[in-house]
Amino acid sequence: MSGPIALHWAPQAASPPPPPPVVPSWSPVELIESIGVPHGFAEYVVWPAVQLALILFVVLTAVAYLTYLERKVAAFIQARLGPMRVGPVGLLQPLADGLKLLSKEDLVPAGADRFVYLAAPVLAVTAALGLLVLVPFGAAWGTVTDINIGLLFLLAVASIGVLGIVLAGWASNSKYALLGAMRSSAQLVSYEVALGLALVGPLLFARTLSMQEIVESQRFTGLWWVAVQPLAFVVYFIGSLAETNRAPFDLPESESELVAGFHVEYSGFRWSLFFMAEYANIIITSAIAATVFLGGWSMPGLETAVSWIAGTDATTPLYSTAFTLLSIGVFAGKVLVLVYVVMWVRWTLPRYRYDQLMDLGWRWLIPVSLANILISAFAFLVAMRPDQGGLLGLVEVTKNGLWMGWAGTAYFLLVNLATFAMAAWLLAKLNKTAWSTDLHALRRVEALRRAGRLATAEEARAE
Amino acid sequence: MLTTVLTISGLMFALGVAGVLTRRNIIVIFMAIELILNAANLNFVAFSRYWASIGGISPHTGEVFAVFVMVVAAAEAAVGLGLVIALYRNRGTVSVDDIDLLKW
Amino acid sequence: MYPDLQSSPWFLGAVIAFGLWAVATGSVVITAQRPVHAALALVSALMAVAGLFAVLGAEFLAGAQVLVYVGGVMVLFVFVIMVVGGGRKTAEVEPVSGVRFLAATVVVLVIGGSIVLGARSAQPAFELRPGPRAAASKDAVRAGVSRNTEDVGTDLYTRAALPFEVASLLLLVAIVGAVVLAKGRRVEQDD
Repeated sequence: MSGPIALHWAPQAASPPPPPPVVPSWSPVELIESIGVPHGFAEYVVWPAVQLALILFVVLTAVAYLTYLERKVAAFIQARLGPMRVGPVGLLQPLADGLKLLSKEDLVPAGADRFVYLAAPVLAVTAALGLLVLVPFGAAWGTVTDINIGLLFLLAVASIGVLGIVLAGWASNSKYALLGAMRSSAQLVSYEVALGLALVGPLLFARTLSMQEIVESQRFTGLWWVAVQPLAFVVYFIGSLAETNRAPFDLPESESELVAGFHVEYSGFRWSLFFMAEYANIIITSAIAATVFLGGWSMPGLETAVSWIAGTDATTPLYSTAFTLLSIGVFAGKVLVLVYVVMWVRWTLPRYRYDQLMDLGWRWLIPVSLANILISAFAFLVAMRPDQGGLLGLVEVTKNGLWMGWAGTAYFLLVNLATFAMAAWLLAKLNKTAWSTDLHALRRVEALRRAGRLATAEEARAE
Repeated sequence: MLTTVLTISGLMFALGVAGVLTRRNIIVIFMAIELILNAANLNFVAFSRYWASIGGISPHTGEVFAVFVMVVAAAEAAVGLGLVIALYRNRGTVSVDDIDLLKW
Repeated sequence: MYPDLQSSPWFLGAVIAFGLWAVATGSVVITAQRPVHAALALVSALMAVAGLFAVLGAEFLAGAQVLVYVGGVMVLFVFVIMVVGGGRKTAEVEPVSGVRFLAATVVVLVIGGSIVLGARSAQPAFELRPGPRAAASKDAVRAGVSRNTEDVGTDLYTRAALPFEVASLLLLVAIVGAVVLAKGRRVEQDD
């Protein structure tokens, strides 16, 4: 591949790649060791247990307050006040809700498959909470573990939670729940394809599946992958809405047609388990989006901010602590923004019809993400250095990640904007008949029809 | 070590064959076939590991093979379940004992 | 950074534990009365196999196994079970009659026994040193983290490029076939 076809006039990456960004070396493991705990035990048992307890506490509280936030956002969008009675501005509402749910009876409907019925919500919530282990909440010691198939593992375990929903609907022995479960399984299988394919685009740039390394790669290149993969981000976001059963894709639990879909028969604590799983899944898909597309816990100026607080010596405990806490803050901020967008979408868009949902998944998202992979890979191949098998030498593959100068950055931005425009245009052409996804037009047509019917009725009465 | 993994895979294979031979529900038969395929995959991975440990060249061949087995399994499940749905629509049953039109 | 799992005595324990889990749930698959229970047991067995893959150092396969089987194939299975009326008790109860039970036992004994005996007689040393490729990539970004995904990917796209393309063709055929089969004649009547 390399050699004679190299174009020597091509702009090379302007400067040699910089050293990898600094990662603080101190971790609280040393603190635990200093009180006499043996090393392996401290690093692999005690400290992860502390982290997990902290994460579970924080995330479960967050889940409880997400329900509050959801109601407040809904109220804000519908010009209401939302919960106001329990505590100041309703802040204790989640607590009251939780107590109420805990004190309710745990019903099992007659004719239900008891074992599956009882196990399904546990399956859903276990899968959702199990994912938290791999989310890179922050730099250095802000993350529990980092495995080499991190992203793949996240997707895989997330798909186990899907089974919880499907089985819950089946086991309830109720036609509404069964319909919800069937919709759910078809929807999730369809959108998982688009979701996975959308993640391949940024992975071309990150060159790893490990969550922490994906963040590091963006930090090293100095670019968030959403900049070079805008199309993939859009597809991922839509896919994640469908994957978490959120509006406008909340067909499995659509309350206006299926009562509550798959969890219609559940009550009390098991019902709240489903809600916990749903909100935890929202947090996790947002966290994956933040990690893969929005730079994770990294942020331009993060290192500078840390050095204001803790100096520049990366080996001190103070530096490590400041770095970790700030990075966790950055990550939480990004995730919260995404979660807000998810809620905003829910209270803005009407629910898709089932055929429209399938249309969107199979005729828009999957082709778009496939085209995105193809074009991105081709553009990447062209831009690589000649001795690494490329042509233009705009981007260099180094040990720590991709190194591209301003020329490379501009090239990828241009290519991906062009991809975005081309994909939108091409799909609009190809899917000319798929007008059914245009809800606006549909509503207009419906209004016109109704006007026509009214007119004929009027005429009939006049005669 | 290798023998342990091979024993597990052998047992899974036997269970799969037993399931195919004894069950009547065609969906469960498909599931038993998945068990058989997984037993084969386990063998592939175990031998790949073994091959790597004795320093053989290209130590990941077995894993690549397993990937292809998964592809075939997915394709088989898709077509097979499509068949089941078509069958159920036409005959109203998924019991292999009742699907005997070709016998006569 | 990470303990070398595969050289520790825990390794054999993990293999045996996952193996027992796989075999136990596998036997539930072929004996469960309701297809949905069989599907649940199969999910469990497939995850045990994924655990075995991970213990054996094939992390990518472990992830792919859960993603493809649990996320895709098994959801399809459950979907079809629901379509063909898995909710109705009468349709799904499937008593294992005596003859069938006997056949199952004989099959398990003969096949399992011969495979186990064959495996025993071979007795090759299964040392779990890291393979040459893994040893060579020690200067990877994070030493100690397995590069299994990278290695499998390299193999898949270089040495196995042709089978890979053929496999994609097979999947395409399968998609078309599944759509044609499942849609049936009903669509023609509609049009």
